[in-house]
Amino acid sequence: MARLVADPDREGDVLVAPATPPGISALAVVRLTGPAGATRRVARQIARRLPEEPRPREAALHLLVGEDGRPLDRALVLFFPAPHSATGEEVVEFLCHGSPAIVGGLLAAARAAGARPAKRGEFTRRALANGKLDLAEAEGVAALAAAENRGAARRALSLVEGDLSRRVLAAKEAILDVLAGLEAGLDFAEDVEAADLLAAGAALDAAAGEVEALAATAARGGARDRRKVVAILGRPNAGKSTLFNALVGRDRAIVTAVPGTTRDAIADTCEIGGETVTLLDTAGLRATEDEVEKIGVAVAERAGEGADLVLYAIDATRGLSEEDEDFLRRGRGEGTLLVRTKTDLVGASSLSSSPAIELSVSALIGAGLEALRAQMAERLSLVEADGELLVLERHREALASAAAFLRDAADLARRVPGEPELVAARVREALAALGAITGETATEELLDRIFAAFCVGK
Amino acid sequence: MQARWDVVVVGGGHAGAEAALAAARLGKQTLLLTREMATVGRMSCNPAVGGLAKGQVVREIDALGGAMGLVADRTAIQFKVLNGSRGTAVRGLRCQSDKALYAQELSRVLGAAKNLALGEGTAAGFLVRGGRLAGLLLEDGSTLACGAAVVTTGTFLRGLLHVGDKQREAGRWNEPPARALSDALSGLGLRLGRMKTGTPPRVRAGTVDLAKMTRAPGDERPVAFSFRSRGEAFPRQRQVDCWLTHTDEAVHDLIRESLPLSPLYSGRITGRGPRYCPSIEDKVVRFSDKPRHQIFVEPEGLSTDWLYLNGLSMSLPEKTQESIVRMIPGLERAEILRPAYAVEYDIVFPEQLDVSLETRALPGLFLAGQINGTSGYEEAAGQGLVAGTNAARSVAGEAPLRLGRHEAYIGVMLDDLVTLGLDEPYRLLTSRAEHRLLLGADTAYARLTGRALAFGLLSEREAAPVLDAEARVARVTEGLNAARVRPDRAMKERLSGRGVSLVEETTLGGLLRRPGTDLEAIEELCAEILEAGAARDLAALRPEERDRLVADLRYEGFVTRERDAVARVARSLERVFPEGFAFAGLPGLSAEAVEKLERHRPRTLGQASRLPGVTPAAVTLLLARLVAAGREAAA
Ligand SMILES: Nc1nc2c(ncn2[C@@H]2O[C@H](COP(=O)(O)OP(=O)(O)OP(=O)(O)O)[C@@H](O)[C@H]2O)c(=O)[nH]1
Ligand SMILES: [Mg+2]
Repeated sequence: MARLVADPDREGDVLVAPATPPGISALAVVRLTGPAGATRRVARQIARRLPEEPRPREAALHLLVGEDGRPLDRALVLFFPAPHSATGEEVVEFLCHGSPAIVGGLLAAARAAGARPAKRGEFTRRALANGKLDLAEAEGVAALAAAENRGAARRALSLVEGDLSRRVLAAKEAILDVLAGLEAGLDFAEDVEAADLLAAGAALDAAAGEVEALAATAARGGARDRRKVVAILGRPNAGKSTLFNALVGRDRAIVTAVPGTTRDAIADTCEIGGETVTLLDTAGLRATEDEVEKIGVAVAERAGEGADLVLYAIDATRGLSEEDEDFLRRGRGEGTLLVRTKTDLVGASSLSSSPAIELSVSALIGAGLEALRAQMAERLSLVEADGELLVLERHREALASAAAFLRDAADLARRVPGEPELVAARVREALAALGAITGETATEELLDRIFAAFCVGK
Repeated sequence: MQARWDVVVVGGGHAGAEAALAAARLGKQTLLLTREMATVGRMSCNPAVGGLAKGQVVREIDALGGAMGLVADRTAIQFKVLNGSRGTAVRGLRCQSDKALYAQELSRVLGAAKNLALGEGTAAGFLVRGGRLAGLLLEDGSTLACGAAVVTTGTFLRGLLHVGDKQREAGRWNEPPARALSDALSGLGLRLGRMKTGTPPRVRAGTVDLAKMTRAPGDERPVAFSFRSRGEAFPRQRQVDCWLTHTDEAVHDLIRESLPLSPLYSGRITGRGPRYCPSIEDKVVRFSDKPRHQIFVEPEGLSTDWLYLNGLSMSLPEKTQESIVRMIPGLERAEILRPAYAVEYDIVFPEQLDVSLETRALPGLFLAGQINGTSGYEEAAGQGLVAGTNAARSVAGEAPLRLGRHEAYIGVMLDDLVTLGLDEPYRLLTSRAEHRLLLGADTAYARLTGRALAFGLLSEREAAPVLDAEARVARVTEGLNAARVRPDRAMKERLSGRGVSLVEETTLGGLLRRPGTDLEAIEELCAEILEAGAARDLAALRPEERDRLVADLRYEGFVTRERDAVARVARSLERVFPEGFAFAGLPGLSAEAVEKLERHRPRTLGQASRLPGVTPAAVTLLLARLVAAGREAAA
């Protein structure tokens, strides 16, 4: 958690960053955030006509000038006073024309006026420091800073934006309603009828279903938290190392025409479906007396067993050998992708010589690699589903235990004689588990709900 | 009056009485200063003690050596356990009291206490020496030197009574308010707020038609608040019934029409009233779809013909009140002895106190009861006991008694008060306790007797019967868990005859853990297969202890979980901020959070986390800082 603490030396800086992706577009947004006053001072170096006290949240057209004082663009400027801004600090936004030259000029002008280019995640970190984010969102900031590929960054961002928090809150709402009924019946026994436990049980089961569904979405997204491993296996000289080098994008493994070149397993990473994947090149599989090679073959077989996916390379010029069929019969089914290599050496007509062959590539000329990557992404279930959430291990545990508590509570609610205080105890545990995701407690919310919904007190 | 005291308690209500008794019990020369001796221990609102969460507090007070439970037991004219069919943790012991007898008995207890003197006088200011309270200035110009003081002035601070558009300055009906003390408290730099509470009309018993109401009798088997009542005649007073009636749509229409006459709605009352104890105006407005609201008709005593109309508090003009009352079944000819009224009064925002109830503005000055924004006799008494204890300990230079949220409802209340701040009068509710299953009235002695002994609030001799009873329950529990029940044919048949099914081997404890199996169903079996000592102990248990025993078995899994949770959270939330911890210097805290933290100066991370404006992320930052500070200190 200490990682989330804002950088103490830099708190006072005015930060500048483009808020839209680079490239040509109709509109680009450049944002300043920082201490009250200082941020406006930077902004007024760029938009010279901007008043000292701009009207909050009102767009006004201004001429923007570059660091040399020459006009850059005519653009809308928006002022957000603290704490009612995205970062909780004073924020100024420039909505300029979307050309890299203008954006670059604006950044340079801001720097010249004393702003510092923001580091990745720094805007959100300020928001965190100013209480604009809850715990899960804050974790998103940390995850964003640590994201090693596009997919991870996208999910981290959704966490920062509160997608998970919102869904957790929605689940909590429903649960709080049930709890308010139980509690009102207990705390105001003389005024409020005891809650209908059967109805409460049904509502709790429904809530458990929601939380389980959330946990399941979570699990799909979370499945990516662990890096997948793909091993390339096949007979000697099948073209494994060449394929390996093509996928990782550099000459990592030695390639020769001599069968048995690769002896040890070699690991490197490549990006598949937006995710970082570990790729293993291995020694060619064959019966051999060579002691070193023998060990290499054993290592290869073990790598195949431990991998999430095996790319089994088959030399197109040679076709399926007996050893190949042997290996495939031992069977990994779903976990193996048969890849015909060196297709540049054979005619297009014989492309699908065997129905078992799923893909054909020529690593040498780069043919079929895109299709291969797509297949790999699918097999590794790295295809991004809509609305996928980043769920850290902590969240997944919290969701799972909340769901379990809710099921348990629902069971208790159906028991005869009814014991609402025990049901409530379990429901509170569920809420605490959910609250742990966003980092809040429920008692005050609960009381508000009781007093709003029940006429209590003699 | 002697001019120098260890502890002076200002105010003779429920908070003041417990505060004075606690300080005196701890051996401090204590003066209870009251404006008028005759008003000591007066029940100014409803003629009842206890209720949900409140009954638990009374037990806690009893376990900590306080008087409320015993006085209530001796003067009660009806006992009724609320939620009686629910689990023991959520049952609320409650009694109707004879108001006059209650005040009389409490005065007697105060008068008989060692080290305690009662005197008449009105506090008007504070004497300060060396940054600490040194004495009190009285209205008549005299002074009282003291080591510590507990101020428990209830609703008297600038009290303002409202009946319709009529208002007059008063703390209670016909009792003048305290004016100077509000200024004196402000003068110390304490921020004051304003709150409102109300009380319903009283009617004459002879003018009420009970035949049109529903009888609301007490329990057949009354449960006493105090363990001390085990040694005396109980119940001591003749037991009587209450009666139930209700409002209807016609009444609601009249109330709606009359709203402009209510100072609550005309804006004349600015203080905030409680949501949980709403006036009838509030109920009609906020819950307009409810066709009726119930009204309990409660006798105020055995030798009085005053009846209390519980549920009908309001501040409409007397004439309108009369019309409303007379539209209610059974009250058509009721004579109103005293109209309903609302009272507005000053409070001291309690976040300016430590959980010991000492003000941060002036060491040696403690506040307890309604002055801290609470409502209810029980809440007041619980605070009084803590404040009196801590005033005595502060005089002796000893560390204060602090009760945790998992230890007592009193602990929940004190923590809520000093950390949450208030915008309405505070009342305890069981839902405020995150560990409700640990805080049943039946477990109060197990929870608190150890603390009472350690702090000298109970002597070993006094605690002996409590400890004996606890030990007996423990022995029986052990015995039940050890006694095996084998699923042979004879046993199966025997149990199924009593509605208990037996499939695999278990113990007597195991049978009782099942929902729906009560002790009565397997009583004979227990007598037979329990080890002789445990069987004897079982036979000696009082009914409440038997319930407790079964509840302990039934709750066991839940209680273990809650205990674990308490321990887990305690580890991080009970981290204490070092003396002079600079919240302002922490990077990453919002200005709002810093302001709140500096103002309240929470003692622990847990208290900080409950401050409004302190976000979860801020708590994370604080924890990180505390961990780092701890590491630096260790290095
Ligand atoms: N034309 C053509 N030649 C290829 C292709 N892929 C591999 N080769 C050649 O085939 C030979 C063996 O390639 P490697 O990649 O070393 O094969 P390997 O499977 O790693 O062999 P071992 O490590 O010995 O098991 C080399 O001479 C490569 O140049 C291809 O796509 N097209
Ligand atoms: Mg190779």
